[in-house]
Amino acid sequence: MSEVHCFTSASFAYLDRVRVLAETLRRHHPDWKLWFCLVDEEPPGFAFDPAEEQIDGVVRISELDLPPLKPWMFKHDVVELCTAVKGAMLCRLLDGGADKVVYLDPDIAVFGSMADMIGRLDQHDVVLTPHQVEPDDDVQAIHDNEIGSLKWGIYNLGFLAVAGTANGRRFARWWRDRLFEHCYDEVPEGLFTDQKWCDLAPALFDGVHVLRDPGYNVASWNLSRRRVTIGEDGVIRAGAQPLRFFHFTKVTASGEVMLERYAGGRVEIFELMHWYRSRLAAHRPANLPKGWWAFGHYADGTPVPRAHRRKYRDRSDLQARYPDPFAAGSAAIADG
Amino acid sequence: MPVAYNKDHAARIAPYFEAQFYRASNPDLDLRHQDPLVHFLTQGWREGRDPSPFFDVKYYLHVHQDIAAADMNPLVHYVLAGKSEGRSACRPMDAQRRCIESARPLRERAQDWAGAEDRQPPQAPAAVLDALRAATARRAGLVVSVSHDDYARNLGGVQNLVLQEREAFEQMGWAQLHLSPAAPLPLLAQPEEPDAFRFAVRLGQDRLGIVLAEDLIAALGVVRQEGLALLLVIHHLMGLQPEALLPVAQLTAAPPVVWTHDFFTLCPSYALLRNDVRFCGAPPPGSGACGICVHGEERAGHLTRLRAFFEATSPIVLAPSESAFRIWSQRSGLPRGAAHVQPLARHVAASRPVVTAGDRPIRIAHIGMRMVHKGWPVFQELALRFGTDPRYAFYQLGIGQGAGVPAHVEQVSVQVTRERPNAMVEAIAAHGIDVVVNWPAWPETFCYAAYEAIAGGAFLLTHHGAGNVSALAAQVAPRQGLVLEDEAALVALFEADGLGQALARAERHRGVLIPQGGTAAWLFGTAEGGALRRRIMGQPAAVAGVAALLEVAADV
Repeated sequence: MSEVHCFTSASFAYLDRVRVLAETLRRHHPDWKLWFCLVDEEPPGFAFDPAEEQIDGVVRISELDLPPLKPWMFKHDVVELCTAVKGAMLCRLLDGGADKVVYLDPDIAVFGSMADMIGRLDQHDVVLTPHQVEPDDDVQAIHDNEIGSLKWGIYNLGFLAVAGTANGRRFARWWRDRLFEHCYDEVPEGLFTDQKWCDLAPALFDGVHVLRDPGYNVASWNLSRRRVTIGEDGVIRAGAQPLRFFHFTKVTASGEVMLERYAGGRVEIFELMHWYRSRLAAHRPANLPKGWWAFGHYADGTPVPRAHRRKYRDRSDLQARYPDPFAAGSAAIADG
Repeated sequence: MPVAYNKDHAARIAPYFEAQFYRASNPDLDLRHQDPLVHFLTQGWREGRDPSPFFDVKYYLHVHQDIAAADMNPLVHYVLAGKSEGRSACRPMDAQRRCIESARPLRERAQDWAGAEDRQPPQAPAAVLDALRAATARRAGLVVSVSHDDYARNLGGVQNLVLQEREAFEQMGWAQLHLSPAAPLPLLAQPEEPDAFRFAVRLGQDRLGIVLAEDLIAALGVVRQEGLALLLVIHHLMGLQPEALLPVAQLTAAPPVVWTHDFFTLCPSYALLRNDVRFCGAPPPGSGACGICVHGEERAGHLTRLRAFFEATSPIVLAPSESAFRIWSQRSGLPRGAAHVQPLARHVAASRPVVTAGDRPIRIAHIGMRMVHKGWPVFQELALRFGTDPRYAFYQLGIGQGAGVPAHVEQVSVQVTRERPNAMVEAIAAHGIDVVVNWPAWPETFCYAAYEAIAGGAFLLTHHGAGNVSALAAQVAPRQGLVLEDEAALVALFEADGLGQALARAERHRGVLIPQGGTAAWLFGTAEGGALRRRIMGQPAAVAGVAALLEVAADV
């Protein structure tokens, strides 16, 4: 059987989520190699030992083949940067000889075997999961879901599977290169991080498979058309299919309002949410300062506002003047 | 900034405001000299303080941002406009969600039970033997009865049954030795050191005290050697060690009797409620359902231990109802000997029908505890939805503990005791309750409350998945019961005039509940029980008349 490599990408703030992903992936795919692409550095007093984690390896952002790191990182906020590295990480694994590579967002938990999906990579080069696979018919749901997909992307890039074929590698390189330059949350400009780019994938590449099995990538944005149920046989289903993985996209109060809007009068979704929160609590890292992100502040500790990042990425003169904007400091970027 | 007091607003929200709840949930406020309602109106709502358990200020403002933007008291808005606009006063499925959110693994919950432990030193082995010999002298046999607590100190269905059995066995010339854990727990006790397990022991009606398993087994071994017939009857294993009971089973000449009063032999969540909220049907222990359930982790080891006990003893299974037996046998897969259904009580209807006044609202009650597994959230939802409907009046009959009671539900305190076993039946009749909604979250194995509803002359409303309750309602339908498909059908029945029509067609009778004597009735009153008894006694014995035994049971 060909070897499957899986990776996720996150900062330490999402370490609890990475751990739940790892724990649940291990249960269903103990043979997959799981990599953690770490877009962060340890804060003082915080120890991270990969050997203690249920992962096969950690690749730090500094180890990836990326544009000059400091200015490139500075241009991105945490969500943008964690997604911008995904193309480079995918290429790294494919270049290392992986037959099949799967990306899963850290806020995903795996509930069933994905063997069927992996099997599809024998016929196809890229597998994508759309946010929705069935039309909505309620005005609110059309707005929340279908119009949401038109804004933020048809396919949810919390999941991606790519074969190590020539075509798969071609796709990976294209995606990596676009993310180097244009992985921003700029919806009015037609960009939304790594995700919106993949709207183009079926047009630009052969072998792109749209996986419409409702058991994959279940989340608030598709619950309206796939009820989550739990049978007396113990099987958790989404629509008529066994649940493969759930994307716990927001575990906040506002995320819960979206879930309850589409829970369809059933408690199962709240059971899943409670289970997920309790697993997060069990995996919460000790001694991690609240809101920590190593690239969220200047060298002197001042937070980097989003406006500074935008200004820096729009101004080639600033980039030339300050090749290390973190060291340059807030005043330099603000006044520059 | 405080809001000016508005007398009209105060009057409008008063029926939806619970002063006692407000005081209890805001211990930081000094409300000794201030009306809590005034505090809520002028200040409390701005601080996110809820006026009752049924109105969530923060939720209302979060989902209705137009109200938040208008800076309006959310409860005032709800009463004046929001309710008629169909806006939710609190989260959808709030009661069930609170239940899920407070669900904890039983091992964690067990820590709250530590105070219930009887820490007395154990009885000396010689004292145990002496007491056993004295209690069994000139007795035909000894029934070793096992359940989760001291039946004489606690009230409940199983406790009543153990008491009935004691009296019935004594009438038949047997003695009863009752074992319960010295340290009650909501799950099996840890399997370590079964010899040192501490039983709380009652011999006949007298409490013998704490006895170590090894001393108990030694004493039972002696009286057995001396020719005493023994029968082990397990009503419940909660808090106990099956490993400590195995040597007792091995001393007897016949398999033990195991009752399925609930589904504890299938899962430590005895009502098979996944995350304490939904009936799960005891799926395979490694299933996705167990994976997300707070009881899933405990279940694997629990099942291994129970399987070992069942494999070693091949017990006779007694079920309190057909539905309990059907569910248990379909889901358990545990090895067993024979199995029989032995109902705990029988209902006998009076011949004269109940006459009700036709010009008053239909009186609808939830009887018993306000608990999720007893269907309280469904009743609460009905009361919140139809509480102001002039066609209906809502009641809760039972003890006042549990979840809060919404406005428009009259709480009637009723406590069934050994001295007043018919208290609930009498209260249903006395308050002229027309309909009891019995909507359990699990298939009840034998639900006294449903029988009490019928005996009290009420019409029983339930759903298909309510086990013994569904069976009872189907049995008395359409005269005195109705089994509905789901909650949507229940709401539809209330919305249209379905309930009024069902009652118009009904012919309700009061009645009496006759206890059936449990294991004793089975052992002495059925052919299968007689066969087991002869095996225990090692000799043929005269079969007591069923009628005589039922008479005994009815006296109890």
